Amino acid sequence: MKKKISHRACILVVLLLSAARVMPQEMVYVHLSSHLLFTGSDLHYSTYIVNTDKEQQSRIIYFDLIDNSGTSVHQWQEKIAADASNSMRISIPMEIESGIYDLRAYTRSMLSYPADMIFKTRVFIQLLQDIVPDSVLVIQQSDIPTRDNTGLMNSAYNAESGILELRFTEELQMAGLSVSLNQVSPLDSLLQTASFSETYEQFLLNSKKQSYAITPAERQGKTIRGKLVQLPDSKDLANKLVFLSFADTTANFLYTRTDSTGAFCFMVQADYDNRECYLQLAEGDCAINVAWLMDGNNINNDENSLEPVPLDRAQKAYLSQLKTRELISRIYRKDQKVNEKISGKSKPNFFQTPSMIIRPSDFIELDDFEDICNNILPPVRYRETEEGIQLGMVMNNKVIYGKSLVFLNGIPCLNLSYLSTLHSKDIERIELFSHRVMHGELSYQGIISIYTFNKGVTDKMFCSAVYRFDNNFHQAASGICLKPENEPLTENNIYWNPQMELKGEKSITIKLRKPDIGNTYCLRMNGLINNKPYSYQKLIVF
Amino acid sequence: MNLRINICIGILGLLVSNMLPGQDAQNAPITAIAFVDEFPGRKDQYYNNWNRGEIHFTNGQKASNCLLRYHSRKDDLLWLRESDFKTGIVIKESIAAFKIITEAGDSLHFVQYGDTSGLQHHSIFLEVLAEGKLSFYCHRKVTYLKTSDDFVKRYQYYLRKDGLMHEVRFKKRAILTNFSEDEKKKLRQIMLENHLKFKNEYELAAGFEKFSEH
Repeated sequence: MKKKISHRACILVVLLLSAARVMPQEMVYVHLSSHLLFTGSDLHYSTYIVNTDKEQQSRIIYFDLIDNSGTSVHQWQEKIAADASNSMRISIPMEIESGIYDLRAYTRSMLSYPADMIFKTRVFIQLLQDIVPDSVLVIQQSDIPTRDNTGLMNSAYNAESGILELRFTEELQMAGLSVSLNQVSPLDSLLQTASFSETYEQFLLNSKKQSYAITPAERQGKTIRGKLVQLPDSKDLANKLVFLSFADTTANFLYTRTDSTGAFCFMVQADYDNRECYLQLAEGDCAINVAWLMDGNNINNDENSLEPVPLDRAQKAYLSQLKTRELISRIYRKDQKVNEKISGKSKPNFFQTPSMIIRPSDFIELDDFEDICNNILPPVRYRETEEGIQLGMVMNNKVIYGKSLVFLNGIPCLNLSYLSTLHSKDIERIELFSHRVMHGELSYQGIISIYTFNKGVTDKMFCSAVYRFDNNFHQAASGICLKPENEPLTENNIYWNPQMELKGEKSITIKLRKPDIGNTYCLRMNGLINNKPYSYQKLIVF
Repeated sequence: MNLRINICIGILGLLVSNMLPGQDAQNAPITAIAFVDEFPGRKDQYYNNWNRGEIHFTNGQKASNCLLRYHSRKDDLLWLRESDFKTGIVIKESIAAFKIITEAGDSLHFVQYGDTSGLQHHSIFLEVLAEGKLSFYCHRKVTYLKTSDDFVKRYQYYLRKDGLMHEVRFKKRAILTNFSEDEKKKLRQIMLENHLKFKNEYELAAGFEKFSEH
């Protein structure tokens, strides 16, 4: 009897622990203002997260723009504050090639989901200076059924007055919706993707699949995780010191050690947002060939085959026309900085106040760093050995070589041979901290922090094992996009309202301008009602 | 028996799988300068023994469960790195506050205070004795007397009242000069009712806390 009870108690403990570990299901939806884009043009979008447990909801959405070979060509992140706008705007990078791309949106807890459960939508991006292609490569996927209204909304358009009236059922009267109005184009069949409702149904079908277990810090996007492997045999690099830093006017870095599987995790503060970050292996042979497998980039790719789809005459003509229309609209567009970054202020040096600051411009010009050390940096010694260049600090009348930490423009510089090429006129200032420093588990015999006039970071500064990435976050952009009366309405998207907040209204009206080109447009409305995605679309003929 | 082993393995598995590599959310690395003791073996230059505690940095991060010792003579916080038993002086500018838990279980709470009363701005660590509307602090300063080869306590007390910091001598009359007649009466009454004495700093601090509550 006793044995049975203890067995039951053990089983209960296991069940309780398992239950505690069950992560809520999460899904991301994105409503784009347009699926036909040009390099340098703005993409407006609204994001929605559905989570079975609101408290466990992620605060960061990751976006990947995937080309037809499955490579991510542009990545960015978005912070979702519980009470803030979820409408965003980014500028399509100029260096992207023309073609069809998958825009994927996911949270970190969705990393374990199969590829078909990650929200993705197709966009056509065209390089403005490119000629219209004859064909596009498209990943073949099963036909997606399209389904319209969920019966919660009715709309009526009065062509004479240009008034669009939307009538809502009671269920919809407190929702927040995003609204877009796009021209129906011959390319729509190529860009057709699953609607909100379909992906949600798929999501429910797959609900047995557990989310990836994440910590609260990860949920808020405060971690940078990955794995370090040695190439070519993909051997795990265990117990290696890894530095994370960014170029700045002060010396700062984070460090961690890889675990037995080569995995590493950094906890980062907001000052790492919108920075070009550098991960480098701080120990071992510079020539070692390593691969950085970053978390978040390992979404399973579809194994579907690529097929070139020739564009028919109507599609090519439409793209060509759209290009001209984009050029016209750019004449009128006010120059706006879209990728406004949430700028992080410089932190103080991690060692706080330097013992000495030297500005080489105060002295005569010196040809190389050895001359600089010999003439204007009294506590620093420079020597070249078989192992390479070494810097030493004079402490208590002793010189200790190779134990100082050198920074170049705020980044730990482990390739000192690059320093030897620096001329005194290249250097703005040198900060010295001539003490034995303990930083966490690390110890250094002094710190030499060099700042050059040219703040650019070159690969020569690093050993081979460096990984650079943009920790991009884009600022929220709210507001209705409706062109002024005196500007031509030529773009594919003629109306965008990222957040139409309903506060109990039974109906609302939208005054629409008649577009200058085309007369058939598609009204799309998306949102969340009671934590479930809602989608509505209707054709409007002007 | 097998079931039990399996269950235990399962529990261990669950616990291990919840751990993340390299994750040490709460512990920011401490930056310190290597410390050389000028008076080895002289414990009276310190305020406490090596005790566990936590440091709150000016950047909002904190380092917890580290071995700390307040060096009264140098007015510095020492950190003992357990991986190699090296001692460092935690860089003062980076510290906002620190807390030390003594062997007796008492919590010593220190804050950094920028003294701007003189010509030069200098930062000192103050032990927080009472905090509230009325705050009471003590700078646990110790000076070395070369002639007698002795360390002498030179504790300096501070009283923060109505947002203003006052340097006070630890004398009943000197303390009371910072209060109005009504307040003096009220403070005396609180001390009397609670059987607290003005000459005991902890009892006085308790009196101030009660004063703040009223």
